[in-house]
Amino acid sequence: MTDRRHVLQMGALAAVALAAAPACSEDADEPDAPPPVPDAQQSEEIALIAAYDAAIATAGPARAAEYQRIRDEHAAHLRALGWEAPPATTQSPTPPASVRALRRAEIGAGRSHAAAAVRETDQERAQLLALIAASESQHASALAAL
Amino acid sequence: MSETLGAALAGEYAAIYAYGRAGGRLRTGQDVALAQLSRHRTDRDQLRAWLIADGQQPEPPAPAYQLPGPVTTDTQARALLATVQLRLIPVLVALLTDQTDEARRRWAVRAVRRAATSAQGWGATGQAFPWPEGLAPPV
Repeated sequence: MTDRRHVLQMGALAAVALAAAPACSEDADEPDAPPPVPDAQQSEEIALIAAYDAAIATAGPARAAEYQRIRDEHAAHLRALGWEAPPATTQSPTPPASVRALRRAEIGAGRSHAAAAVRETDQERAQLLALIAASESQHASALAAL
Repeated sequence: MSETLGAALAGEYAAIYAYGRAGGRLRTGQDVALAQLSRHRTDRDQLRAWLIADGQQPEPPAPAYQLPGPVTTDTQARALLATVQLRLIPVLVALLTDQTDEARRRWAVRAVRRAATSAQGWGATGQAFPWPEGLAPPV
């Protein structure tokens, strides 16, 4: 009987703990809060932003300006995809990429976002993904012209 | 009844007209313009075929289209082609709102991407969400 009551109390505590969990995870200052995990589409953007940040650091002024413009467009994609956290904080340092490598990354991300747009059943998100893929096509062309 | 297929077809008609008007004014890039014109004719035929497959009668093109401005110089011709490509994007991306067939959706996404790069090739500025000036973006 005692054991059963104990189990019930534990159950009640667990329920409270579960109910409290979402509030905790919203608290940015909470050290134990798990970092948000980006989905596949957000991850593509986060990786590209890190690649451009690394490339900007070593590029000449003209090329750095173009990289910065493209990097900012990826940051806009990432925000539109619902990712609010600063993109670079959890990234390990990325070695600077060549123009060719950046272009390959744009082509890969564009393909992935295009495929996601085809599959996506939410109309608004499907259109968003198609426009992101279109922007990445523009980036690949712009990099080819550098 | 799909209104988006009809709207995309109307966009392709307008693009084909614009290429006809701009092509002769380009100083360079005529080969690119010709290849793109040929692509738009293929896209027009594809959209007509899908409308017919869905039991609808495709509308014919208008006899003429109002151009945003005069097209007598290379610069004006390039600006017209950039504008036309950007204006195709909303009608092409709208296909994703009511077309469920995977092949049609893949076609639409490819066409949106092509329009964005073509617009840039004719001098349009790159955009995070390629879209024509003056229209409210969907995102």
